[in-house]
Amino acid sequence: MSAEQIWTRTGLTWASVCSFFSLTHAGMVGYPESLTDPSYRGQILVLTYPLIGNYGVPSATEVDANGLPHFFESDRVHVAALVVGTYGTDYSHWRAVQSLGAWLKASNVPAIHGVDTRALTKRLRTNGVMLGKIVLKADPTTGDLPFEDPNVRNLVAEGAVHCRTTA
Amino acid sequence: MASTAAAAVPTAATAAAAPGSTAVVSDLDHVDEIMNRGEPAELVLDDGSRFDGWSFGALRPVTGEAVFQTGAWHACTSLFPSKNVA
Repeated sequence: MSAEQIWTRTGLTWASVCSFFSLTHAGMVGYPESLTDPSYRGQILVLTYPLIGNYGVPSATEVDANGLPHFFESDRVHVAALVVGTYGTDYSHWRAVQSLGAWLKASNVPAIHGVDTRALTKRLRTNGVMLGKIVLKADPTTGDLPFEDPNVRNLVAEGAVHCRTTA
Repeated sequence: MASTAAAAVPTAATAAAAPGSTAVVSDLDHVDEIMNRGEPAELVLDDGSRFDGWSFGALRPVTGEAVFQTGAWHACTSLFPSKNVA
């Protein structure tokens, strides 16, 4: 790895001039709960914990006495995308039924690993939350995607449950 | 100084390199295989900063609002709290 690549990965070579409102969340939950939390609707979630995915994903069909999922905050993944430092593919947990990657793929949610989430978080903390996008280097046209502010959409309607679950 | 010391110690990588090879060998070159990396991808922020990485999950571009979460329970999982005990 060249010094240039390291500089690129830490994002230190780009000037920042933006100032947006701030949003942080020091939630004491795991990634299955965070990804299914409707409050993250439309957001690209950056997890600062350095190793993500090592305990896989538990069953979505196990429900409690109220018929609600045991291990999730809702019935589906709500984040727009996930950003992690190191993704652990070799998961191990007695309640795991699939990998984090397989779950995200089935949910049609993209994710990116190998990111310097510490530098990224410091940038978001300093400059405030800002719009972002995940692009694929193999398809340069994806770099032309315009930034879209999810907060102009009706996120409540998108994240809401659409069928009655009580009698 | 570091490069001189490294050159003096034969490693598996340098031993395998063909004589006269100009390939650059570093300790990090094997990380790709270990990490089973996916398609190269990039997180681009509205201020122009870019963060390199590799794709996993769904292979598609997406836009949104970047936020962070610093909870450390991702390490030991929250599958064990009392509410989840049957």
